[in-house]
Amino acid sequence: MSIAVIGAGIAGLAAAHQLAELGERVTVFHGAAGASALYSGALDFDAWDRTHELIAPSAELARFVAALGIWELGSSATRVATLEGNLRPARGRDRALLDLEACAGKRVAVVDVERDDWDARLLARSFAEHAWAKQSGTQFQPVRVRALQKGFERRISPYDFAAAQDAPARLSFLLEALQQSEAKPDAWLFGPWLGIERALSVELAASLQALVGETTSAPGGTAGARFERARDRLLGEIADLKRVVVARVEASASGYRVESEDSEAREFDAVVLATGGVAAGGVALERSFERRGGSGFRLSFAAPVALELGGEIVEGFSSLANLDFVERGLDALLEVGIAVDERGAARGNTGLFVAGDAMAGRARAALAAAQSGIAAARRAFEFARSQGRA
Amino acid sequence: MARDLEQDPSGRALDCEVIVIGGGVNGVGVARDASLRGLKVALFERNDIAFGASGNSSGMIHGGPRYLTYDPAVTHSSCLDSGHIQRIAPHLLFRIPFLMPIFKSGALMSKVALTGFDAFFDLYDAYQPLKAGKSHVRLSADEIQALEPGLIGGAAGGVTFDEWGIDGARLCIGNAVDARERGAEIRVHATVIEILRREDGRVYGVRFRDRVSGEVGVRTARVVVNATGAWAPITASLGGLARTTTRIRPGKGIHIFLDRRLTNYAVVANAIDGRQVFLLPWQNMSVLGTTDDDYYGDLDRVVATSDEVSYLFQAVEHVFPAVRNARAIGTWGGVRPTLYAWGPNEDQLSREHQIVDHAEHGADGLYSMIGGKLASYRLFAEEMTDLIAKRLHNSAARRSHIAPLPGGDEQIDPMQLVVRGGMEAVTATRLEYRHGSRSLRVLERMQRNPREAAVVCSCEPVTEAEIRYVIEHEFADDVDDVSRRTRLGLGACGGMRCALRCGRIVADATERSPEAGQRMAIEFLAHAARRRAAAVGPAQARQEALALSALRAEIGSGSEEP
Repeated sequence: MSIAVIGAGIAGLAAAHQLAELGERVTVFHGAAGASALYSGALDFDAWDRTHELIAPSAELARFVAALGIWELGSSATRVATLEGNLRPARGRDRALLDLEACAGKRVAVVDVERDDWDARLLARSFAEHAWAKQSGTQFQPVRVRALQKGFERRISPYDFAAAQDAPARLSFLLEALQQSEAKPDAWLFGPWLGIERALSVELAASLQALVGETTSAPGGTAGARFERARDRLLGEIADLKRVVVARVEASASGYRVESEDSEAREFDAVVLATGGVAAGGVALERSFERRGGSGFRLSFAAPVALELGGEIVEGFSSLANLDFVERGLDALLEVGIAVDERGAARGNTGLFVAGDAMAGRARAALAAAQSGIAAARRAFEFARSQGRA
Repeated sequence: MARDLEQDPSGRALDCEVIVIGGGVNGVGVARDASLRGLKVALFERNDIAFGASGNSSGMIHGGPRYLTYDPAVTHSSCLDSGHIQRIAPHLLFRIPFLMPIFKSGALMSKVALTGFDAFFDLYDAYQPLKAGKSHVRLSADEIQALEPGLIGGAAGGVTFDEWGIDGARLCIGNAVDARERGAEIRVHATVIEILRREDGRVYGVRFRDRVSGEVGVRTARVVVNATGAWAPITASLGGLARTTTRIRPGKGIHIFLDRRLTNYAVVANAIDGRQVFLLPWQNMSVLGTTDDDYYGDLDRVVATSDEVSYLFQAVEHVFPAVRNARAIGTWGGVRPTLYAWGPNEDQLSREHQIVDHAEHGADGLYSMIGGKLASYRLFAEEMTDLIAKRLHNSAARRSHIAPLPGGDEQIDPMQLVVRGGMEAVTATRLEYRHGSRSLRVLERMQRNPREAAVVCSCEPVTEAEIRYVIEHEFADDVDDVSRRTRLGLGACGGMRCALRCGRIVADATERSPEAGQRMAIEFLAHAARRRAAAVGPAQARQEALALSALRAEIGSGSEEP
């Protein structure tokens, strides 16, 4: 059998990994970075404030997380510090993020680094006054650390600063800076700067005999970059990667034909669409300047699927020629997606399965995406097998 | 003058001489002018300085060319006053060369139209020296295309004319700060809930409620000025007067902010109904404006509608197709307090403002300022203050046209800030634009505390020192106020990267909890998103979805409890 996965975000990658476990080497189409590259590093099944309670990850999900190699998914919920001064619950985390549950009741040093995007003094105050910190008796204090090697590091992006930490000499430099400090905290909290390639947080923790970790990342930051590296590594092992933008998916005599923008067409028995929602570019908004007020959603590539918004099928461009975000609210941008049946198949297309943000009305959260990728992969596998093509 | 005018009905001495209701350009203009003449003033603003039409206008200090044909005296005084404003606030003004392409079918019609405009602007040229403006130029088809290659082909030619732009909010802040420094009491986020009258109907003060602290208080004065723009009829009713005593025709106007500088000239285009609209370069962005529609909605929540956005886009893309590719990063809307008239088109009214003396309605001591334009605010305020001065037997000289506004006393070179403060050139240039010579005070803050040099909003850019400065010296009390004064969060990222941080700084500076800071930041972001909703097009949709997801990742979508 032959199965294609379109999209290499968290959902597409989880699907490819699941299919690899089922013994299939799939073709993964990957055009451009999507929303997964912009995630915060916190892992949830749902909007974080409603998943406080424990959700047990499936065995498949746990194996995917292990294969990816950069995530921690413990047996219960954890808590991470955000870039804007919140202490928020999460089901799991990029392992570079500081695990706050492990810091409960302890002294956490917020590194006071002279970066423009970081104000340790106000952040520490914001963390310290958070309800969780008070309840758990966890202290947050700013501690001056000379972590900048060059003046310009004050203003470069968090990603660039994190990448600079990958340099071999940086570990000893940072270690020295932390050891010079008078404070002997139980944990060190950094901004999202602790390396892209190397796991600097792990290395520092081992040397310092203290917990070390980051806050969450802003969109386009370090956590997303780390996911992309881990993704590329894993995909290289388990799938055939085509770095092209898909232009068209259509039913053919032998299954489904996938046409990329290099105009080469390939045939598959089943396809997993993990192309993301509006944030990723998988669903686009169009505006017609000829028709007054004319704007509506469409898929960013041609496919025999329908989009759905608020439980209603979006019949192409014309019926939503007056889509008005003033009335609808901007949330429509997160709700819109491909309409699927109860089996996760695109309506009317038995061999097209949908995963991640591409699905209409689903939680836009990392673990939900991975979970749905795994489910779509299993169904695609069953479908391809039932077609009896070997 | 009767003795009881010096005291309130209970016999207490009056608190001040003039109470101004409204912190728009007319209100702060009167507060400043009266303070300059030594009168004791208190001003109450329900929302924020420049919250309404003044902070949401096209920001033009124009010379009034349209009066030329029937009332050249108005053009003369407009141009003269434009010159005055340049003198008192040189840092706030920037030149806007307009380009008016002429499209007419048929060679003869084009020639007639061009000659007509040419002759018209010949007349206007005579007044340009009053406001340091340049004479117009008549352009051939080739010349106009060469000047602005983005114009759609086929223009028969065109003319240029020269006007001045200004940040309306900064102009208002400058007036308010100056008034306070000259002794006025300025109360922002304080709403007047009653205009107090004596038994015989005469007005002697106001009762107000501080919207932040909830405190209710009374201020008494000999004169009360209603300078509340589109709110004027509502304000009058607080003194028991019929709304018809202060009739206005509320006209909503919206603007759209685009993420890039598309032109170096303001381009005039005709909308589908024949109205003139424009595409204006504004620093590194562009502004599309404006509409004019009767408005009877909530004045505290004026937002653009999708129809208005489409109307403007459609009009401008007609002559300047590249607007299609630009990303709309915001809209703003305001309501003009146009003079009321049934029938005549407002363009035909030669006077744009008037003062209502409510003595004729039995409320002696109360005046309402109706109408007005940003460009003529100083003249209108002077007219109002003359009337007050005469009534109070104050004979101090008029000085609002020569006394510099804060920061306007001396022009400084922004590069000085780069050299002395290590600021980046763009940061320094923007800081100098907003604060003039007072940017040196912001610089001093940074030198005292180098941490405050951190750039908080990198789109504009805005430093922590400037945020703290506007909180301490310019009446800012929340993230929205800071944004109005500094343009924080109004750039390409829509505040996604700076609003929460700004909230922490405001909370810290005003001794509130970090949580309170977060709440005001989220309120600001939600309001900014509402303002953008009408303009969400293909290029902005992805950014909006991303910003929403990022915000949810940061703050969730509610409380932690299910």
